[in-house]
Amino acid sequence: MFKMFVFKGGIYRHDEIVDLIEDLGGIVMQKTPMQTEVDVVFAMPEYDLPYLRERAKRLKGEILDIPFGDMEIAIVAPSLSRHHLPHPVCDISEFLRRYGATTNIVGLARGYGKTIFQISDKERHMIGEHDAAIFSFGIYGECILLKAKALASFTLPHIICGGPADIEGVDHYIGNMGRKASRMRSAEDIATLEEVKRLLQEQVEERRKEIGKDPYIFPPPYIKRAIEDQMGIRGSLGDNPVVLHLDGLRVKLPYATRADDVAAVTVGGRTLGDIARIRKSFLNDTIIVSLIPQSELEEANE
Amino acid sequence: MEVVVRGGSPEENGHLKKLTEDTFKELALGKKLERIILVSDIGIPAIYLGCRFKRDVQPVVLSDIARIREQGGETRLQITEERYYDEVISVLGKRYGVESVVQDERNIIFVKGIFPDLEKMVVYDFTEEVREHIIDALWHILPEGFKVRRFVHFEDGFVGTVSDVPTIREFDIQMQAIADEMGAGWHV
Amino acid sequence: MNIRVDGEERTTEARTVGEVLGFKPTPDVPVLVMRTTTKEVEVHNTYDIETSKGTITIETRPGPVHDAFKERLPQLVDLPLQWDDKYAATFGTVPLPFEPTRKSYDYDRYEVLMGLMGHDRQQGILAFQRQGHIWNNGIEKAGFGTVIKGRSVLARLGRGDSIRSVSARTENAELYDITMATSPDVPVHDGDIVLSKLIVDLHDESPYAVEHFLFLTKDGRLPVSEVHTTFATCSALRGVELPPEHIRPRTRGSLSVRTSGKEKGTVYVYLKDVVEDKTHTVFGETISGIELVQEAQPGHHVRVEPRYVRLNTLGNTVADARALAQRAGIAFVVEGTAGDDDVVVSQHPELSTAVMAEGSITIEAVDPTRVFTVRLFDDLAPQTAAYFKTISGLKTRSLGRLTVFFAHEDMDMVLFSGNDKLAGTLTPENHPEGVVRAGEIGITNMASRQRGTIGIRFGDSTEYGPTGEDFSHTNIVGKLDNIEGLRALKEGDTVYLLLET
Repeated sequence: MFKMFVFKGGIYRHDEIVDLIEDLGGIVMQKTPMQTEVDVVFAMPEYDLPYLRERAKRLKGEILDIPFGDMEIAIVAPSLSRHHLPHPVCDISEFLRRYGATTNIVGLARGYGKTIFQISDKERHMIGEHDAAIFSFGIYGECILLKAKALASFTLPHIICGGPADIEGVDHYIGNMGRKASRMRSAEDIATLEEVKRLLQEQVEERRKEIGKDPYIFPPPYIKRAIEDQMGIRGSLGDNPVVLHLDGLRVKLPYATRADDVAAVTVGGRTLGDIARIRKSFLNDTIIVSLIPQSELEEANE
Repeated sequence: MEVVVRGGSPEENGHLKKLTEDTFKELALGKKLERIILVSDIGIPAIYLGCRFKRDVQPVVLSDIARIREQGGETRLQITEERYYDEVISVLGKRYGVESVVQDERNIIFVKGIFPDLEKMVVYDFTEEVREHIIDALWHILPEGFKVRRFVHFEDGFVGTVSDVPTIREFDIQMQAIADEMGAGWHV
Repeated sequence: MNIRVDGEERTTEARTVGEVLGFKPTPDVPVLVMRTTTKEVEVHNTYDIETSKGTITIETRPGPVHDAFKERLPQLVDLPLQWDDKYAATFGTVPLPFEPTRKSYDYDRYEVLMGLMGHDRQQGILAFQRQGHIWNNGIEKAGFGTVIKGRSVLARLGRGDSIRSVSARTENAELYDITMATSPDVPVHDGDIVLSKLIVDLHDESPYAVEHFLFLTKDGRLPVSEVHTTFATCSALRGVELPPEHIRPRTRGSLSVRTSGKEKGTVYVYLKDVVEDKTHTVFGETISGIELVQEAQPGHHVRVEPRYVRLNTLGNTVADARALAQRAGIAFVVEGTAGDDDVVVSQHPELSTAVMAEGSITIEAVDPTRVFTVRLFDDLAPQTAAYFKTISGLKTRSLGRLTVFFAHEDMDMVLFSGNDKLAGTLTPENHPEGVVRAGEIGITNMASRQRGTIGIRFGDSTEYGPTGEDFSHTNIVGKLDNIEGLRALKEGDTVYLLLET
């Protein structure tokens, strides 16, 4: 129902756009003011998007689609401790953030060798908490093939990045990456990054369709607003304490002390604990909220 | 700088060669390198490497940056370049013992004793710095997950093997082949 | 013929919209005629499979395996679970018309397929993949659908479970031919739906918003300002600040009013379901006629029938007020004495919602000589008229009032207090030309320090305006019907105003 957008424009009169977003049933996720300009990230049904765009244009602003604005994406890389030169993970991360994604660079403990590429259960869970994963592999086709096989049962939308232009037998693969000596700035590099975005978006759209067929009782942006209002937490200047997922949220508060508060948040007459699974993240000390599909809730009540 | 890459497919070699050239250019090390050879054997997997750098840079010796005088059984050094103060103290201390070196004033150092070759003592050798930087750069170039299995240093270069698997005889054979190719009379 | 008018079935001989409704639709006040073109459409690509552990909903693709499935729906009832493992759960057996095959195929997670146990056509099974798996299910490329709902039910199935029933989903797709009738001659046919008004229910929890809406629609019409896909707006009372009342999700047909921002006071009629917002008080919902709003154009007036009539008698004669109370079935109490022709100037309670709850009103009335009728020049002095309505209260009430702040027997005019803050943006408009007439209402504009003052002269003047200022500092906003009784006013007196109808 909701899609993610960002309004970019002058701070003067931007409240008119915010008001119109509220009128159209949208929810403001984050406002980032920068001197005389402001970025407003919001979720909204698409019904009157053209009208909103027109109003934004009249104020010399614009509305951009940010297709990954309600997602957290894991960029899986080996530990970067010994690499102080640019690594494609930084370029990938920055590029996806332009389309709204929250990104986490997840390092694998066991490194990335050919025989040593093992992804532990804990690491699978860590990555699995995200909405999508980008794996950044090296330059040897044989190695990448082996690693891809290890990822065969991976069900999350994902992309495998590597050096060779193409590798037979590896799905969701984008080449011409591998490792770079400098930031990916050339027209060719940007085209490669656009491919990553495009291929990822295809998979994400499939996942959105699936969710659309078995939807949650309330969408994540609505839950985010309820959590922020009731727990008195709101991000400022780029910091985001509640991160959206396609199937829920991540609340950046310590699980041990605050999980009960999160479960007690009320939405539409129910508590969050009733309509979601709340557990500790495998990645860090944050709280993962996974919404339960409405169809399951209804059956449980019968 | 000559970069030689062998062992993988032409595309893989090309990628590694470009990465190596770009990385060294980015770090302004290109001019200091004579030749670098990388041979990959993904079957094992292992990468054999060799690097030869230029030694034409003269090291800085004590007489270049200090006025040396004998004074009452001790050697008095007046350091003329501020950036070498610490280096001098450190190098002198390593050679003659920390107790023998006294910093009287910021740029005046006394060494207890008279040493005939003191003026030729190397204070700073750029080449060692270059070696460090080249090795640092290699960690960016070499595939992740490959551990260093053998590394042999020479005056103007080194050879080594990085691999997933522990050392086998093949490593020595390959490294010697690279050493021979360098033509510097290296023996692994 | 049989037609449906505003939610009620009717049998009629009438042939046109005008005859059916008993009034004439016009280009400004149109009505809607809807004719159905398509009825129920059965959508055969979704099935609900009820099992002993819950319902699994599948979406299917056309093909021979889907056809085999569809033909055997009755045979699937009470089919027990045959076997299950981490890759799949299967139900059977039922005979299937397929050739057995020994090849293995790659089936995706959540795929639905048919198979044959032991390569025996009599031992057919229905299988649901829990995980992607390559296996020999006995039938070539037998996947025909995907589990879209109930994936956790699939995970929980085990020995002893069975299928209880299978039903195909049907979807009602009703399509209409819509005609916006702007004249009475538009013909009606058997089976048509005619919508002539918006029938709305109002919520008691939002009395101020309800009152605002009733005032807005006191002449039985809702003027439409904008029509979008999500909502239509009525901005006639934009600027009125209301306290936030009941916040709830907005559904198709919801009526809300904005309580903050530039558009506060604007009424919204929602055409789609959207979430609630702190800035929108939802005070009512549509019982019938939402399509009329959906098809309206800016400038149209939509006829409105709220659940109860506005029960505010300010400005009415006592006689009219009494009659209104009687019609609404509420008690009528007069404080002090008042003749039938006296004008009601205060009422308690004032909000219609509260009146309905209490069942009675108490009014105070004054001699009609203290009530003046005002004609405002909305076209010539729009800003000034808006200011005047706000100061006098005519923006939100039928009866306005002004307080005299200066009157002297030697002065040829009377001055009323305004609000110099609000008048700060009162730009000069509609200056007097050559002469100011008695009875004309003038307001000092922002060019002067006394901005916002309201004044009326008892006699014509060619030198100064009704507030004693230069013509260039004066905006003429309207005219009183008569000036009898103005001379007698003293400082502190209240003067009552009615808008000329």
